[in-house]
Order: sequence, then C-alpha cells, then structure tokens
Amino acid sequence: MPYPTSVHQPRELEKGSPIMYNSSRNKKGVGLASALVCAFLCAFLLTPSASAERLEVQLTDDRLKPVSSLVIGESLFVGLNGLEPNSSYQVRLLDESGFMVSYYQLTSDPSGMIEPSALWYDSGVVGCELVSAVPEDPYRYATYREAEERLHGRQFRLVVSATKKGKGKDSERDAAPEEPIATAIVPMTRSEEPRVYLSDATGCPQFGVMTGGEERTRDIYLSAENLPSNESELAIFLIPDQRDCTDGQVLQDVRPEYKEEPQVVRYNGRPSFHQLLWAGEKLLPGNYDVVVRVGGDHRIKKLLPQDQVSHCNDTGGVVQTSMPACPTITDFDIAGRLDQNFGLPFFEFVDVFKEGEQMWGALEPRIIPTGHPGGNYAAFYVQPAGISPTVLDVTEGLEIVRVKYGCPNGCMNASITRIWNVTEQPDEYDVVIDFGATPANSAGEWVEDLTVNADRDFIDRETMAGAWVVRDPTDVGGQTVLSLDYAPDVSDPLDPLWTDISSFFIPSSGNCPSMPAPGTVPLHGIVRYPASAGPHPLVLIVHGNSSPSIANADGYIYLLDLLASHGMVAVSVDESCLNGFVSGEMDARAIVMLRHLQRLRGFNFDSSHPLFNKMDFGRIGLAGHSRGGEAITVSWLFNTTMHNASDPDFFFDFDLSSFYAIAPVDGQIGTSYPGTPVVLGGDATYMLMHGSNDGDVHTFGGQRTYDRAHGVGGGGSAWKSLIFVHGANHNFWNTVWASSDDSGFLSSMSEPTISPADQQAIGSVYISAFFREQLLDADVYLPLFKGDLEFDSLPGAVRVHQYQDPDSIFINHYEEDTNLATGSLAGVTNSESLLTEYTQASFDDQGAPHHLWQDTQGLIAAWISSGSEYVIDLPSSISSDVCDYPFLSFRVGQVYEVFPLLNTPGSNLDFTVQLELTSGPANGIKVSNFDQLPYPVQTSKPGFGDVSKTVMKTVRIPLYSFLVNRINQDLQDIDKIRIRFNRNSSGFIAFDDLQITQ
Amino acid sequence: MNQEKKQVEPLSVRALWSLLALSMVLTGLAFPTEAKAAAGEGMSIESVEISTLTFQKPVQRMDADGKNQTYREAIRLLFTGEFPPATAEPYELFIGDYQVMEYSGSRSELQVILFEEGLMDRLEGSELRYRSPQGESRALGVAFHRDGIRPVSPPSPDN
Repeated sequence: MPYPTSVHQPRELEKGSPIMYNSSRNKKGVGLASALVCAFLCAFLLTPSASAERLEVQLTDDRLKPVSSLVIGESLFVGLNGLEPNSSYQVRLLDESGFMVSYYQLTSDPSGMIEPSALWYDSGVVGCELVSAVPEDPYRYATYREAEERLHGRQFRLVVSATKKGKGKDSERDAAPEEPIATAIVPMTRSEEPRVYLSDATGCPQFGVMTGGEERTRDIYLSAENLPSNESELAIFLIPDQRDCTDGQVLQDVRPEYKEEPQVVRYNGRPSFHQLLWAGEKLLPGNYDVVVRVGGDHRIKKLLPQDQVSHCNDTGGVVQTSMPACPTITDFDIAGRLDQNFGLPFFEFVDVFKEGEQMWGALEPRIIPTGHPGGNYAAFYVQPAGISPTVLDVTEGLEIVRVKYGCPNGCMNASITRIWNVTEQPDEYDVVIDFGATPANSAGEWVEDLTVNADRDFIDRETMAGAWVVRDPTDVGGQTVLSLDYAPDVSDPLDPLWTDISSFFIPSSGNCPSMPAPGTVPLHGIVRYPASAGPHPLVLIVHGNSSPSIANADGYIYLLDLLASHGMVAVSVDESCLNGFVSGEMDARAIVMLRHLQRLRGFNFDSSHPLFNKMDFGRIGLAGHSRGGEAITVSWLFNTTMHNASDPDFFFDFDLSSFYAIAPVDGQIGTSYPGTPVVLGGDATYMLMHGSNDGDVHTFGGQRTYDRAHGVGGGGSAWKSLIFVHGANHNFWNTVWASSDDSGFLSSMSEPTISPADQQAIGSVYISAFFREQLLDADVYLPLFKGDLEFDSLPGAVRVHQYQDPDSIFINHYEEDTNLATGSLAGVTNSESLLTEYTQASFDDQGAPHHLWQDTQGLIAAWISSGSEYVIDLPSSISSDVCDYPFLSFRVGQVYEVFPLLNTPGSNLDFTVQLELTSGPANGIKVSNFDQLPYPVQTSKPGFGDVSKTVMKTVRIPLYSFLVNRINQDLQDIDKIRIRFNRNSSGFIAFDDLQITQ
Repeated sequence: MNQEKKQVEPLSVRALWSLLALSMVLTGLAFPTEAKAAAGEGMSIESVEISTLTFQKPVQRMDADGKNQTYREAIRLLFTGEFPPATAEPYELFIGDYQVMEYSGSRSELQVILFEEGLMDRLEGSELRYRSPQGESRALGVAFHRDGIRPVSPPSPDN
C-alpha cells in the first residue's frame, strides 16, 4: 500500500483556545491533558487497515504541542489513539534509506491510547563531549547548527507497527514488529524561532555537568540563537526542572544573586548570544530549565506566552555531584503511580496496587551509580517476585523506551512509563529495568537478553517483592463458610454458657427475662467459621446499646461471612441483656467479652465440638460498635488487670492486640478501676471508624481514645488509624440498627447522610482489610490505612483518615510543654512569619473556638497573607535518621468556623511544604499533590447547638519528593522545614504530630 | 481525587455572610433553642416497687470510698413510668444528691439496685432528677419514699 506523502496539517484552532500553535514567538505551553484533547482534533488517516480508520497519530514537540514537522533541535514526541487496547506497538523513526534513527515500544492503555512519548530527544543533538561516544551513529550531533546542516529539508518516515503479544519466553516475544499499520512523513525544518539552551564555554550544548569531588567544576553558559533584531535586552531565569510549561507558573531563579531580580543582559539586536549563566564554583546540584524573555517586562516572575523555554516535558540540564545521597538507601522503588496533578514530584513510588489499577514505572536518578555503562534504550519488565535473574514479563506488552542523551541519570520526568495497564492476578511482583544484552547506544542495537545483569540493570527492591497487586477486601474469599450459634439451655441454670456478672452489673429481668439468677447472663454467640482445618484467627464483634429485644448481634453477620470466607473464625457476641435504658454496665460488657473468649477456648479443646482445634488463640481480634467500641478497650485492660490464674471466672490473659472500634463512646468505664480512661498500650493496634452525621455519639469519643493510645511519642510496635466518614451516621454500620437513621437526632447537617449500603461497604473494606492485615499477615493492606490505597468498592464519601506508624521520630507533637519556640525533638526550634494566630492549644474545646474533640495538644495557626510561614529549624542530629524514615508526616485540618472568615465553606485547603538543606532550598511540595484537606462538615444537635468538628487528616509526603530532579542533593543536609501558606489567601488550621516516619 | 478549588470570595463578601449568620443566631433562627423532650426524651415516674435481692453467691461492689465490699443482699427498686429509648450516651439519674451509677430498664420500667447500707434512709423523701445526654436537667416532680412515689408539692424548679 502506498504510504501517504505528508502529515495531515493539524486544524488551526481559534486564538484563545487552550491549545495554540503558530509560527510566532507566542509559545504557550500545554499540559498533557490538553495534548490528549488535541489528539482527537489532530486526526489523520494513514495506511488503511481494519483499525486505521480510527487510528490517530499525534506528533508533538517537547511542550506537547502538535506539530506538522520536526523543528530541528526540538525533541519529537509521538502519541497514538485508536489502537487495539492493551496491545504492544513499536514506533520507529526511519531515514530515507530505512535506517532506524530511533524507536520506542509501548503498550496501549485500555482505551487504545499511547500517551505522547519521547521518540527522539533534541533531534539527536547530544553536545560536543558525547557526539564521539558512538561514532557509528550518524544521527548524533555536537551542536544545533550541525544538526540543522545535516537534517534541514530531509523527510524521515514514522512507522507504527503492532508487535507480537507475548508474556515470557523469547519464543513468544518476537522483537521484530509486524507489518506497519500506519506511516507518516516527518519533514525536518530549520528553526525560525528563538532557541535557548545550556552550553559550555565554547557554545556546545551540555545537558549534564559534574561538580564536587575530584571532577573539574565547569561553568554553565546560556546560548541563544535566532534572537529578534528589534530588541536589545533579554532576561534570564534559571528555574528548577518543570514537567511542562504552563503560562503563569512561577519563575523563581535558583541562583541566590538573582532571587529578587532576574539576570538581564543586553544583546543589542544580535541574532545569537552566549553568556555565562552559572559559575562552576557556585553550582547547586539539581535539574534545571532555563527561560528567556526577550523584551517585555522583566519584573513579571511568571511564565508568559512569549517566553522561550529550553525544555518543558524534557529536562534542560542536570547538575550532579559525585557525592552519594542517603547512603543507606539500597532498596529503591521503580513501580508507582503518576501524579494526577502533574506537579512535583510527578510520580509517586508505591508498592501496593489494587487489582485493575495501572502500574507505572520510573527511575529515580539518584540510585544510578557512577560508572553505569549507560545505554540509550531500556525495557521495563513486570515479573513474578523472586525469579531474578531470570526475566519473565507478565503484562500485556514490553515497554522499550529511550533514555535521554547526556542526562545520564535519566531525569525523573523523562523516564516515567506506563508498564501494566490492568494489573491482574493478585500476587507479588518485581519490576526490572533491563538495558539489554549490551548497552544499546543506537536504535536497533537493543537486544533482549531476559537476564537481570547486576552491572547495568535495575530491580525494584532487591531484598523483597517490588510491587503487590491486591484484591478488593470485600471480595469473598475462597473458604467454605459454616455457621453455628451457641447459647445456654434456658432450662439448665448450670449450663456453662451462663455467666455471673453480678459483681459488675445486674440487668433488669425485663431486659433479660431468662436470667436464672440476678446478674447471671447468657453467653450467646453467632459464629461463622471456615470449613477447612484450623487453627484460624479469631475475631469477636460486639454491638452497643440498643433495645434488648431486637437481634442486635445479627447486624454484623455480613462481616462475619466476609471474614470467615478469608479464613477467620468470626463471632458476633450478643450482649442484648446489657442493653436498654442502662448505665454503669460498661465493665460488664468487657467482662462478657472475656467470658466469651473463655468459652471459645473451651470449645477449641473439646474434641466433640465443631470448633475443636479451629481457633488460634495467638491471633485474636476484637471489634465493637458504640458502647461495644469502648468495651473492647476495657476488655484489653481487664484482660491483664483482672487476670487471676486461680479463679476460673477470671482466667484471662488472652493475646489481645488488634482492636477495631466503630463509632465508640469514651469514658463510660467505671472510674474505680486503675487505668481509666483506657490508654491502649503500644502493642495494641487500634482502628477507629466514625461518621460526621452520627447523631448518637456526636462527641466523636473514639478520637480521644485514639489520641491517648500508645502514649506520647509511641514506643510500641503497633500502629493506629482512624477514618472519619463524611455523611455516615451511627446506626448504619449494623444492618439491624439500619432501620433507624440516628442522624435524625441532628437538627442540621451540611452533608447528606449516605445510604446503609454505602456505609456497610466502607465498613466491609476497612474491617476486612484490618483483620487480614493484623491476623493473616496481609501487610499489603496497610497502605489503605495510610491513605495510599483505594478500592473500587469504596463509595465516593469523603474519608478523613489519620495514621500513626509505631516507627517515627516526632519533630513537634506539642505535648512536652507550652513553649512553641522549642520542638519536641531536642534541638528543634520553631518560628513563624505573618501568621495572625500562632498558639498552642489543648484540642478539647468541643465547640468554639476551634471545635476540636480530642485529647491532645497542638498548634492553631491562621493567616490572611499568602506570605505567611511556619518554620521548623532542625538539629543536625536528625541527619543520621532522615535516610531511614522515608516520609514526612503531620496531622492537619481546617478549623471549623461558625462564621466563616478564613476558610472557604465547601473548599479544600492547600499549602506548600518545602525542605531546606544546608546547601539551599529543595523542592516545595503542594499538600494537594498527596492529599485533600476538606472543609469540615457542619452539624448541630438540639440541646447542644453546633456540634461541628474540626477533624485533622494525616498527610504523608515521601521525602524523595523534595529532591526530585535535584540529583544528589543530599537529604542528610536537611536543615529546615518551611510550611508556606501560599496557596490560599487566608486559612485557619489545626496542626499536630510533625514527624519523619515509615 | 483532587477537587477543583473553588474561587475564594473576597473577605468583604464573606464578612457580610457572617453578619447575616450572626443575626440569625441572635434571632433564634439558625439553631433550635431549648431541647424538646422528644430530642432529649424526658421521663416520668408513676410508682416504685421495693424488694430485697438475695444473692446465691456473694456479690462484690465498690463502695463510695472505692473499696471492694461484699454483699449477700441488696435493695431492688423497680420504678414504673415512661423512660427514654436506648442510646449510646447514658442519662444521669439522681435521687436527691445521690447519683445512681448503675441502672437497667426499658421504656416502661427502671431497675435500681442499692447495695450500701443506710442508703434507703438517705434517699427517703428525695426528689428524682435526671440529666440527659443533651445536657438537659429536669426534676421529675416526684420524691422517693419507702412506701412509694409521691408528688413533690409544689414541684421543684428545673435545674
């Protein structure tokens, strides 16, 4: 079939539309989203085939703007649309003789798209030093001028081919592509536009410079060509590397001497220009772009449409040092997710993916060792964990990508690649970046060797699996589930399933008509258990206070079934005899739980019982709802304080370490017992779930239990977590109680109450994940509680989560004293600038002014200027710890205001966290790139008035984020944390527990 | 999911809305005023039946001084009347100045067990009161007597 002879001209769009391209200097950057929109507008028909009618090929430049030719010196990006979903394609750039100039191989996503991806960097311009590295490659040029001389007027050919689908053996994966499905001509044109680039003293482009150590430190120059003759001055901004070019983005020069005013140079109308940009001895390690503004107002420190940018999606230049960063980092990540906001850090390394999620891979430049043999092509493999050095890809296709010349460490934003469209088959995986049999410096040299070579290839986390794919926690497990009930014979007062709790509480005979004696109550449990041989973990769930005459315990059968299907013995404990219009029965609720455990222990030893040998009493979990939610913590306390090995009624001492509290009360335990209110010890994992529209326990008592748990500064081995669900009420967690909507006790609420089905879906996800993580060693679910994992079964209700890891170093927890100037970690000092409120407060006002319902101290801060800051100066002693704690974490929330003044109702709040090193500033990261800080839900209740709550959320920012595209800037030089309230004109927050953590 | 940030209203506009909210509060429009009995449901007491509970095994309870005491008998008061539904947060119940820490009941009856000696004398003639989880304090207008419940005449004002 004849190939078309020209690329279809993209449709001209109206001026002012989000995507613009013209031959003027009006270079307006576009983001990836806009480029994808253009993909639909820039369609053209190529070689006819069954799919070609809808096949779209999009050529773009580094700014992801559509192009009809390749301007020599620019990078060529190619995107595809209308492909077969989840299929592998090769895109090759061939010269007139068919010589392959460059290529990539990628897999289409489920919609049949391949995002615009780098095919050829800088039209082959690599700089003077690298041009001779591969003499046999005819398409490497020292300068842009040389490239223009060699390429102008030529027409290269773009060929798109499907590759054979294959997983695994090389006999199934044939590197040779199939017949082309599309081709296009790519004309090469000389640039008419101004060009700016980093260069050396001779004017040769240079993309990478070494500094420090024994390397010669070289000056960095700026070269510019095709400058307009009608201007005489230009301003230069050397900025941190950007992912894309968006008009209005801040231009903050990284050179201290140009921090306030840009560097302005007179070029007097000459067409070209060469100027010292950065003296070698002043170089700061990092990745950079350079922006030049010819004419215009130099004082505007925002990107303007007419500005010239060295690189956008790509990286302008890299300054690296020979000093290693965080020498203890040996287990690095490759798998992760794309940052949906396309801002720093662009990419988030994660270990756990939900089934069906896309998996992406990226190479963090800092982990590439000095002396790496290089190679310009590398392939991503996803394979079963532990089979290395064998390579065996399990995904829809193999991704082979270009590595940028001269950016020797890859450059984060240039290496991000989608590597698995639809993760399937929950399991453990490794991700491998393979440079092939030998490092391939030119297209066509890359040869698959199916081996992880230690000297040049990379594997995600050498000492453990690199990535896990996990199933939704609400998916039914594979166990056959059996059921039984146990309860005493009402005609037999000596039945061991009666238990005497008269020393704790005596129910009325009206509430408990079957009592054979005052205070003797039945032990009734509803059980779901695996049919398979045990021992299995054991979970008890207990309801709270309600009518004694309804089937309270039936309301958790949906959870019992789910837990049992995954291999747990699950029991719903019936404490209806303790229900009613009652008070003072909390201790009895706890004792009854322990008595149930005693009976179950007896069943476990009884060879005639169906539960014989079914239960593992080394793995026990307790869950409780409402008063039952406090009862489980009282059980934890009484389990040791009341244990008496000589008294059968008090022979406890069970292995209790996992507690899930559903909308619990706090403080109803009898005050006579030592250890009240209950402070869970550091080895007790605590999870709390509560709803904003809880009209019964509107006091959010569990938050206080949470705050007290583990004491100040932790010290144990257990984590704690909570979710506060916007729109959830008190009753809907229980299917029997769900017939009554307790949010009706509230007189107003700003968030509508979610449905019982949605609420139970949330409960199912978290409770299943919690007990599987705790009792079945399913650590893969821990990211759910950290806020790093979502599942499709979770409805859209906002969940404000908190998480506290046991292994943390607290910088500020505000418990040690009331002096804000000093931190909790020795040597930390705090200060602020322009905050209108900056106070340490007890977070227990339960109303005005801060509406906090907690048991902790923290910081209250407010601002009306976007220049406001909270600055934490760190001691040098933290440098020895910072590499072992990969996250910066804190709790923060919008303070509820009865009369909104500083926060905006209905809006999320945002601010920037910036690290400063002794060598200078590192990246500033928006909180919104990792989490959302929602506006509080407003609720009011008769008799109490406004019961709205300020609820904090735990924000976790990976520390590497602050160093992305700042190669080898050392975390161990960390000096300050600067919290800049620069994203909202005003705000009012509660802040607590600043720490570095796991 | 990242939500788009809404445009922030100028401070002056938000101040105007705040003034409007303040005026609504001052005129009682914004929030309901006093608790209705239904929202923090009240109670009424009609009668009391007094009996003695005898325990087959000694029962231990903390006394007012926090010491464990052993009892073989206790006084059981069974009130009839109307009582609130079961909730997570309990009502506080008082007979005179004595707070009943432990009680068990339904919508129509309420059981109080008195362990300590001398309590009956202390409670004789005392008015029954309660404080709801909503914070509403009410006197029930009846007093406890060994021979039954009698109205307090005239009824005490609510606390």
